[in-house]
Amino acid sequence: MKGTIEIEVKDLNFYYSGDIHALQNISFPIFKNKVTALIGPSGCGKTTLLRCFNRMHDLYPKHRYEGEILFQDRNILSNDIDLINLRSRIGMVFQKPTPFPMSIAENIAYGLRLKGIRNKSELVGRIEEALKHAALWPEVRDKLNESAYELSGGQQQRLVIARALAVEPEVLLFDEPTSALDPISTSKIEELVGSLKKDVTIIIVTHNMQQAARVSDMTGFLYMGELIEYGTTEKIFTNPDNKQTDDYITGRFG
Amino acid sequence: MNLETKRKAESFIALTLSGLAAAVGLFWLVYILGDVLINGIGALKPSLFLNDPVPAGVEGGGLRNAFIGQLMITGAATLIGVPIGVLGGTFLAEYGRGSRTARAISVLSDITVSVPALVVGAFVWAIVVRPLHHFSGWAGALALSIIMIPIVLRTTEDMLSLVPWTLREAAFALGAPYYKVIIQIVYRGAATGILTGILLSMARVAGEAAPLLFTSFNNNFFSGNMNGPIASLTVTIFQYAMGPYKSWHEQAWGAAFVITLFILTLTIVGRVIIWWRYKR
Repeated sequence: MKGTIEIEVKDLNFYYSGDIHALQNISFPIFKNKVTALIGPSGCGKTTLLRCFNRMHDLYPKHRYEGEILFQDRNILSNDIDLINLRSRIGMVFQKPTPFPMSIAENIAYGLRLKGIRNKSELVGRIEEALKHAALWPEVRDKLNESAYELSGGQQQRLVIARALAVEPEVLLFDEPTSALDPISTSKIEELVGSLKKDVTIIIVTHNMQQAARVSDMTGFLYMGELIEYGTTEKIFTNPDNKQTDDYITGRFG
Repeated sequence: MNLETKRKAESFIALTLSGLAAAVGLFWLVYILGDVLINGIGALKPSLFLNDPVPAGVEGGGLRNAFIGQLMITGAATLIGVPIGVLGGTFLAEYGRGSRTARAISVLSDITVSVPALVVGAFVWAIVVRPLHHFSGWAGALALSIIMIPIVLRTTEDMLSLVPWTLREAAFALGAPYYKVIIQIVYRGAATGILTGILLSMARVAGEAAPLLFTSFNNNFFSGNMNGPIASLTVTIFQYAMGPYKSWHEQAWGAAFVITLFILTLTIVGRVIIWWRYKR
């Protein structure tokens, strides 16, 4: 796989409080405008790894990183990184939909206001643009001022994606974004992921191997906190080098 | 006796005893409320609200001074108690979440909730009234706010803790600093719950006489001066009920009815808000 490297993970180790060694010597590149899937059994560290990219672990005391994550040649694990700026450039979508307790339009406007956009007409334009981008606009155009909780689970998840897209991030992290959704909503989100990669680099954690095979260009298999194998999705799913990877994707464990 | 009959008999005894206990409690409650209703409703005349007290024997006195004084003291207590309670609860649920200090404060305020109101009154008397050598409406408000703070504090803490943690993470992930997450997301999610707690704490202190007896004392004349002794409904009810005149007793019943109605209304509004918020 050839391409521009957007993020380079170098010898990353991560410890939860109490010195639990959750990630061990992880190194791999993430390519620009590609979808990278992280797969592996429960507790393998895939979500832990994902949450390193926007420094989500910093919310909890005594968690510790070692090594480097280079994002456009800057180490985002260094102490002088502005986390607020980092998180507006690397967005995140969670497992369960997380709409804020406010209207659909206000949900999108929230991130924009954080970025200092106050101009009313600009906000209106950006809200519409973001909802179109997340393929939600036709369904909500007439009820922008209704509570976001009125939407279905799948719509809420697309609203959250729209909210993340509105601030124009360069990278979008998805943490099992469809595990709480029905099959139809799931396929809509998968389509969306495919169409978004021309604008953003996507890293997606999933426990659903078919999903990883369908949406991603690159796949990393994690097991017990180690990156066992990383390569193109085609290779990982058809002809993996490692026996453990082969056992996992053929469903012999995990 | 086989096992089934034995169990049925035990169940019958437990049911009878708990039913009786509930009936005894309810009887007195209905008796008191009914008494206040019957005696109070007759005393409700415009003069009760519009006139100040007159010397015994003169017709047409009222309790305007006590109604206004009660509103001023309760209002001032709310203004002191609510910000401290809400901000303290925010510390416990957010910045201090899970820390030893936060847990200790939480337990201590649970204990403070059950401290007798009289003790709070005596405390404020000792630290405010005695050094300043005079009773005052502010001292009364302070005493009531001390009773309010732990209630508001614990409700706020509980309501903020009910807001899912993932909602905060989602806001952080958009690049929001913590204070904006709290003010714009968490407070919004917990607003109705916190409001309910505030209303219920107001209802709780509106019926207190003991803490006011040592602090705002009482005043037979109309006064809007919070720096001096000021009348309150609860202390006036106490004084009038103990007094020798029939007109005093009537007015005390009227005042008792109004204050009961006020507390009932606050409680019902609080419950309605909870019901309206959580029906879905």
